[in-house]
Amino acid sequence: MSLCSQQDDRNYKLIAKTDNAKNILQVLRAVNFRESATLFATANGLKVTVEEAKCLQANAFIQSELFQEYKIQEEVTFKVDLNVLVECLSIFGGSIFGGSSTPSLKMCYGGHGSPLILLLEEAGALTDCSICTLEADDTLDFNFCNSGVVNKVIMRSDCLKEIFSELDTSSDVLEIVMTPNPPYFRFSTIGSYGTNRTDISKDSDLIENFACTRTMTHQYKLALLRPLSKALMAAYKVSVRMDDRGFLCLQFMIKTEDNHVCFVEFFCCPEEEQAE
Amino acid sequence: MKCVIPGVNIKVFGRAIHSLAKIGDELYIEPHSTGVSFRTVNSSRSAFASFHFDSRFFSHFDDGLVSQQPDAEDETVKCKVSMKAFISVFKSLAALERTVEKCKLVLDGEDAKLGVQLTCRHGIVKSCTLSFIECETLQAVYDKDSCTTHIHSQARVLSDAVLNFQLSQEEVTLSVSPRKTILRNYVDDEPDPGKAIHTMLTLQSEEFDVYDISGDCEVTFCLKELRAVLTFAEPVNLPITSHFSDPGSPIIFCVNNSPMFEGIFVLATLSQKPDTQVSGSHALGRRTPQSVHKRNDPESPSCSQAPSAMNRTVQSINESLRVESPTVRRPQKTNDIPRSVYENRETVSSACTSATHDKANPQKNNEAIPLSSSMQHRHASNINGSVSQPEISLLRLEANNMAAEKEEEEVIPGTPPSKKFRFFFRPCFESTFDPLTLFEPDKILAEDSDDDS
Repeated sequence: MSLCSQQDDRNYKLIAKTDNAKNILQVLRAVNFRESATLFATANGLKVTVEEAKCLQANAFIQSELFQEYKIQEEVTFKVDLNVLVECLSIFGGSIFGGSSTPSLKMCYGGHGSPLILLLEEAGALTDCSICTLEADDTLDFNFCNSGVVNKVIMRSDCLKEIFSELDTSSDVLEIVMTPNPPYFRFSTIGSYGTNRTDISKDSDLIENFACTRTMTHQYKLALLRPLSKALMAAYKVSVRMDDRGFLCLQFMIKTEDNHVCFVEFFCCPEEEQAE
Repeated sequence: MKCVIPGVNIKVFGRAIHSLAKIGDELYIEPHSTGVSFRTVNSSRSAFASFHFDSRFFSHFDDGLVSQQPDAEDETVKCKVSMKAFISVFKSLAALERTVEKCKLVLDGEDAKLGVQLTCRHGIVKSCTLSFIECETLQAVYDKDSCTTHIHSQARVLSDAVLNFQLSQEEVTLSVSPRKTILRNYVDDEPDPGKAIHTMLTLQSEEFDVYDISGDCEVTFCLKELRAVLTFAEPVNLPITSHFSDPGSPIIFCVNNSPMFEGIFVLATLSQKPDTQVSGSHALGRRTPQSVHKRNDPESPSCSQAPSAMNRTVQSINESLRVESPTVRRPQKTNDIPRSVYENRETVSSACTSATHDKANPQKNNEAIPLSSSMQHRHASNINGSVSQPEISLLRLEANNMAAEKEEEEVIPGTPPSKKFRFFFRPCFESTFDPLTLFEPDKILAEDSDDDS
């Protein structure tokens, strides 16, 4: 191994090994809607953050338990090209559904300025990749805290998948209403043909937990919500939380190939109320 | 009007709408005391489709009529909506069948809104509100019983036959004779006959359930529209009855499941005889000759009363022409039109085809025809400035306002016979017509005499 050997391992700030790179790939694909991502490595695991237009933030959490070996000397943060990272991880065939290939992955990072090194091995073929890292920018902090959450719904992702795929794209905004009274949970669009509404009753068997304390009606830019669809398709359960300012936090539970559960969360800020 | 479609019938309804969507861009909704009709007509007015759903098709039906009197039908809201908007609610037939428990349609006359509410499984309710435009009845003129040929067949037979034609095939010719039926693709003046693909399918008369013909008959119509009929009839496994007469008069396909619902498709057929071809106004494209023939052919009922058009209708024609111009995009305009105009046009249909359901008022029917035909031709004349055959007969009867067009028509020379005309002007109708590439001679007769070349 030319780039990474046993003796040099102690020089790396971060070393992570897994038997199946596809797990990581699946999670990273769910947030790959922009080119660059910021990677935070802590003792708990990796957090990959992608942002859009200062209004949307996606975080993918890859816990250290997912890795067979996870050694971290100090917490590191760097920016990397996510498209390239995803391409490298899928070098042995990235399809999650097809093929029984399970390429093993060793990820090494030497600290500030050094590249992110990926070593993938499958059936005797070895690939090593070295991806340049950049200075990490400050990421947004939406100041979304649990105490501010007024409405919360945990539900299966099936109907949300359908709702999102059928959204009227001629509409600029998606209006979400969460209320303790009927109609409970409503998605509306106003397009060029008319208004479209989908109501989900709190008694629906798709909803596992419905806890709404206040009636909140907010609008979100539809174009901004588009990145959500990738994560939504991969997820089997979704938690939707809205705080008192109308900020939305959607958490998607993704089950990886090895039956690990990974989380991807999205923060969206609402459209400003137009002053009358 | 308020009606609720139960889950078991949702798929049939969805299929009917999909079939209508293949024909026209606007869906005309007309509630009656017995049920609801959904109709459409294509842009070139050469195909008309109508589905009538009886009140028994619905689990709950309220036609919204306040009074029980016979002429109360006029009070119901007759409207049209954008087909694209309506079909977006019924987009996925598989999802419809799987998840939808019932579908409620509500026509709100005051707000001019059509509400569609799908109650789905898992406590999900999807509602869609579309704006509609009020309009008059859309009705094609046809008479099933006066047709000379009647054929009943299973949808399977026809759909298997149609499979043999290329997807790009535009028109087919159906020839019936006592022993067999032949379905051929219609090849329009192909400059190189060797390059055209000819497909011919023969069906024995025994393959049909009912084969009632009077002599040999041959009609040519648009295959795409037949496919629309089959996409409905085949999955629901219903027989199709075809009725037609001579070339030029429409062919009528019926898909019947009385009393629940009935689908009727009226397609214009090509008139083969070159002398009855219309002079001018071919520029609208190949589709138009069919629709224009439908009107020109003396056998076609819609033109039968043309010579007896009334003079006094000039004023109402002008007013009605103004009414007709607002398109779907400007619904507010209809509110501005004075009530009197609607009253004048009581039995007149929108655009081209005339309503003859009101047999008791022949006077009004006569008023209808010149109005509708002149509308079509006014449209035609806007495009190419030339005037076609039926308009000539109408113009002589209508006064002053049409004088300008009459002069125009005298000046324009006759069009070459149709076959040659279509051959020479074929590139003009193709979608990628580029006038610069029209003439590419093989040998140069005269060199470019510019100094710098």
